[in-house]
Amino acid sequence: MKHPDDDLPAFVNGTLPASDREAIQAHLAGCEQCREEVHWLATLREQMQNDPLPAVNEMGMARLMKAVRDEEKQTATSAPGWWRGALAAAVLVVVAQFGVITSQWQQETVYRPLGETVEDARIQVRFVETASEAQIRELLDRVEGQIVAGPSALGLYLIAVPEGASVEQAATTLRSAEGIVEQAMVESAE
Amino acid sequence: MTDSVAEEQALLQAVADGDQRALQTLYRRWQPRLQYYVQSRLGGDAAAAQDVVHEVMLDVWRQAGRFEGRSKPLTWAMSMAHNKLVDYLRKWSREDSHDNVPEPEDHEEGDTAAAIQGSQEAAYLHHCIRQLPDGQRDAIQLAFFDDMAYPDIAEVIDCPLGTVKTRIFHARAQLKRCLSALMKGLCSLDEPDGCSPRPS
Repeated sequence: MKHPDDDLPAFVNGTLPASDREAIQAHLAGCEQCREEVHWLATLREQMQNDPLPAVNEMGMARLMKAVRDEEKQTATSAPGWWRGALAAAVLVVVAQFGVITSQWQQETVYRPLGETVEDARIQVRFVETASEAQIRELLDRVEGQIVAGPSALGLYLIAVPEGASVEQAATTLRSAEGIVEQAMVESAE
Repeated sequence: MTDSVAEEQALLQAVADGDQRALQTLYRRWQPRLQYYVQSRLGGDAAAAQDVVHEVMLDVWRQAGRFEGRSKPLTWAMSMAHNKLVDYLRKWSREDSHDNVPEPEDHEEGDTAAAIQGSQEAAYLHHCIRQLPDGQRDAIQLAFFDDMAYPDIAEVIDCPLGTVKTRIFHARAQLKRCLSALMKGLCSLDEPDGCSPRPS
């Protein structure tokens, strides 16, 4: 059998189909040169995978969600008549639920499809200016919270916690994070 | 189909239906991998890479409805990242040298597997990977860091399957030459433009 040189990387990274894999294994049993090449490729792969992936960029996610909301707004203003009516109804629902927040939130309206459920309460948070992204991320992981809006002009973020979790408890945890959170306030949509 | 692929297909469908939470879930899953891929191509420029990844994820939101399931969702996203990267590099007039870099003078390969096993040697490997032409570096990174199959790599970097195999083949040879030269002291990590053997 000719040396299966082209297939060795796929053999090493586990993406070679099972039938080809068996043929390679049979070849390796009698080919010192290919065994050495597999060893070298496996070492290369191991060394490359030792590089840690960067952590999730929470600020990047907040930026993305803001861009998405901005696009939704844009779509809403250019939508045809029937769709505009449906959006208007959706906006009424959302505005009712976020009444308190929107007044402090730079009049930033959130558009959602009709019928979508909105959590009962979220937490409005201002982070300490010197808090690092890693600190914020670790804190959010602890309360299983996600940034769903912000930063507003006042530097406020809106944090959602999973359904069933205690919002009050999450807010207490956030408040107790000295050096990371300046203020944390539960906002009820009722 | 693996569970994770099926999950990501369902998430993409939800994104297509306007579910912003599904987009956040995909962001958490994909952003680190996209960031790593893009940042390594931009010479470690984290801020520029964040901009590119932002554009990719915004396109995921806009185009989720167009995903036809012919590839894995992550492969689809990586492919968009590659295209954005090419656009970005073109915009800034950076040359994508692909496979056009002349091969350095050949010299005997030592035990190059041993050369990359220690921590000091890991620096050699990173140095040598950085010296690869962009096309080869993409292919080798997607094969060994992301464990992608050849057809997935071909989709991401938008080239024929044979080109992927050729690039990986040349990248392996180039890495061995570079590591061997470093081990023998024929060049050093301080040399910014590769590991051509020093004149005697």
